Amino acid sequence: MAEDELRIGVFVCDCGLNIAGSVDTEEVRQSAEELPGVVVAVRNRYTCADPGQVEIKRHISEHRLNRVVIASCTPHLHEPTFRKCIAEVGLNPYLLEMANIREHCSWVHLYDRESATRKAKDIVKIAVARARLLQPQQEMEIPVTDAALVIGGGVAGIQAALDLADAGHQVYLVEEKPSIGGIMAQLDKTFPTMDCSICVLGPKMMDVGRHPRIKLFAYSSVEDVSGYVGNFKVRVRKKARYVDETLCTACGKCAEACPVVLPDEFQQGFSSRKAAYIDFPQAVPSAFLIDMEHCLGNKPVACVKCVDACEKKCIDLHMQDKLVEFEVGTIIVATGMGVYDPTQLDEYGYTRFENVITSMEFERLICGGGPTEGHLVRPSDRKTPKRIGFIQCVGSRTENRGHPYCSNVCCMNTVKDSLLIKEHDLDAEILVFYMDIRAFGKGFEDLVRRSREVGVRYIRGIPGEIREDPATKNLLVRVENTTTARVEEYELDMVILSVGLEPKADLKRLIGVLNLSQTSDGFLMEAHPKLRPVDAPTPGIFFAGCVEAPKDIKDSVTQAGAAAARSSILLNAGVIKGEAIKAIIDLDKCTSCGVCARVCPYGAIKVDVKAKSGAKLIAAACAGCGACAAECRFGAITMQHFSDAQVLAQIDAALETDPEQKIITFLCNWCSYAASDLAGVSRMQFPPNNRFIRTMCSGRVDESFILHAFERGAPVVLLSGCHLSDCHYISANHWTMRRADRLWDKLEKLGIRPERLQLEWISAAEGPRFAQIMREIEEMRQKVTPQEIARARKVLAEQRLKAKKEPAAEDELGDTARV
Amino acid sequence: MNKMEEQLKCLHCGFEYSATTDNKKGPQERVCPRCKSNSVRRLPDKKE
Repeated sequence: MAEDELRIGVFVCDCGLNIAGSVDTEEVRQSAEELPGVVVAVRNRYTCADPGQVEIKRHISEHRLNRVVIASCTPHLHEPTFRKCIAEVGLNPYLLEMANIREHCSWVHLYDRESATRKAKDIVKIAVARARLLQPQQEMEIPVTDAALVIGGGVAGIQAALDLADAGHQVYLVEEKPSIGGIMAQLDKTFPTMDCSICVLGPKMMDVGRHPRIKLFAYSSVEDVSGYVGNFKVRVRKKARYVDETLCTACGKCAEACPVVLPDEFQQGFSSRKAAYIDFPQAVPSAFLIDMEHCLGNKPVACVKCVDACEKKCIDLHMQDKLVEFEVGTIIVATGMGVYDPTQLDEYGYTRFENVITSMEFERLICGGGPTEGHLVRPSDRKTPKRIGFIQCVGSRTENRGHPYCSNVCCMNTVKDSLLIKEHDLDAEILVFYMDIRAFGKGFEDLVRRSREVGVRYIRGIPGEIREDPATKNLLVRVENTTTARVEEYELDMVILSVGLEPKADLKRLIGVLNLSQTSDGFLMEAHPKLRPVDAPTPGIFFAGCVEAPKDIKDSVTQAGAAAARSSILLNAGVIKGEAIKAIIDLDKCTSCGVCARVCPYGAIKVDVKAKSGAKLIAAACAGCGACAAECRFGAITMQHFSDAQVLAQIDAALETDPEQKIITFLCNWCSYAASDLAGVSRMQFPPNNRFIRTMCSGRVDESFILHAFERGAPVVLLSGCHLSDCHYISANHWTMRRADRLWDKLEKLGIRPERLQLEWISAAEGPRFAQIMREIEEMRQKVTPQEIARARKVLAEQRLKAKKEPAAEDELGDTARV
Repeated sequence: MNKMEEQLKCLHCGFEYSATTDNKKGPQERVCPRCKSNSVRRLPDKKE
């Protein structure tokens, strides 16, 4: 077989009826068979299943295939499966191309079999066009630093750190508060077992503090993370405690001497602490610190009573923050969640009425280690409340004020709290106002039953208003009981607002540092919600606990174990296969203009502009976004596996027939492609005129691709990618926006309506928006006249010929060179 | 001069408006206030 002889095999999957239900897969197969270079086209019921894979391998051997196209589902699901499959019979895994005829076709055109089949044939044709130009690629082997960073010292972070350290890995645990423990340390009891929260957590905290392989940075924050999977460089700011934690014995004499009294945050403001304080008695590290914001001053030193009182002489009021740098192979993010502040719900009078408190405040009031030593009293008069109401879903399951999602833990937390009150006072009258009680976990329903058995009343209805009797400070709660369809009013001694969970206020900063993405609810987005639920889309980063979504302690610990295990896989391997999709620089064409180095978000390209020695690529640092290749005006950079030739061939294939009917849409691999998948999975219907081309990043979409599409007769081109703050290549899509600006100006100068180029940022969670955009763009397409398409084709063909004769000069580089 | 007034046009619905951009903050996502499209073009400065 001649080396350059193309022998492509196309495998069309029925996916049961998922594809075959709305696409004539036999017609697609027959059409594929006719395409140049295709030697065999096969239909299979389930290509991803074992028999399907055996069939692929058999055909590769029998027909000596050297390229494989699988027409089935999204590459996000089974590209790794099929790459592995073809590699098992000796074919380079990068000689595979997937044609997504399920999420992009059969599922979004369920009721138009003819159009769906026509589109599927086009999708396969586009894939074959690209497959013809695929080249074997070699993945780099990157050594992995055998250490992990765990960010967040709540129960999830603690568990992940212990699991990793016990498995033999060095762990750096960074916690922003003075002690680890997180929100769990503030809880009284845990559901459904009703065991003491700190009794369960305390020993684990101590294990962290004394583990030889865990380096704990409490009262610290992660300032910067650079590098890539296996080789992250981390900079941590260790904030000044003004107390040497290695010497402090937590004797408390500094606090006794301190004259400054402040509300105790740990006790939810129900008691006080000093400016010299310890977070809580079981804190780890077991050391005091000075709250310098409220201390009487170290510039100049104005009080020093704490210094005088400290026998160990471990207080240093001139202590400075320290920056510590280290390297890790993996990162686990376990920064937890915030708690909804119900102040904005004026109808409940929180902060106006003393006896309306939140569920978090209740935890401290009922806790033996709390301000009342576990005696339940109401705040207004310190009397034991006899009639207590819980209002569920405060800040949850609402579109207007709060969050639309269910916070997962509040129902069971209230059930637990109601039982705790009954343990204190069996005669207490407890009412729970609810929409639904969600008791789905192991042992949960039993707990609900127990609370009913001890007389807790569940009233289906959320109160619309709470009023206060100014004389007694009792609360009048009006509610429409939806079971009896009556408006009822209750006089209660105390009301507990069962507040929901929300993403932490400072999560955005960490997202910026780690280059992560959020789902629409504001929590962190996983690589795949079902198959990779603890992986971040950025390789080497994992999630544990409520930073990913609200969850209870058991689920947080389970996820922490999973994240530690996933992290261990990389750390144990010692080396990982690096991305094969990288830039290649052709030094013969490079003019050392330096544009590529300025564009690269990873600093992976170095250019000595003065020496004119050509651009140099640091291959291990290149993440493969392709922004450099798109910005290079001299064609000196080729992106492996996403070359210009491949993308142009895809455009040609897409527009070979009826171009005026088609919209070319460029999708970035991580966000807009994932959104298109979500639209498909959700069966959101839109017109079948789009032809999708995937690039790793929207920053890869070269100006020439868009002009080429117009020259080939595309009425509209849509350029789409991650939202600007969510780019998976840090900031590569900033160049997409600049390029769109340049192109709009250019199109206008050429007499082509700039409106024909559309730009949309679509996150992976925005499936409905993706479908809506598809519908709107189709309306735009219908308004583009054949005359303007023809005129654009003519103008651009002339422009291309002219450009061939006059290559770009360095002073015509556009704004990139000047940024 | 970090802040500057820009004339913008939505290429999706045609809405024209002006907005202040802060260059210090780096590139900011443009969203049409009328149709929420991101196809918002910064119109070139009009020559005197």
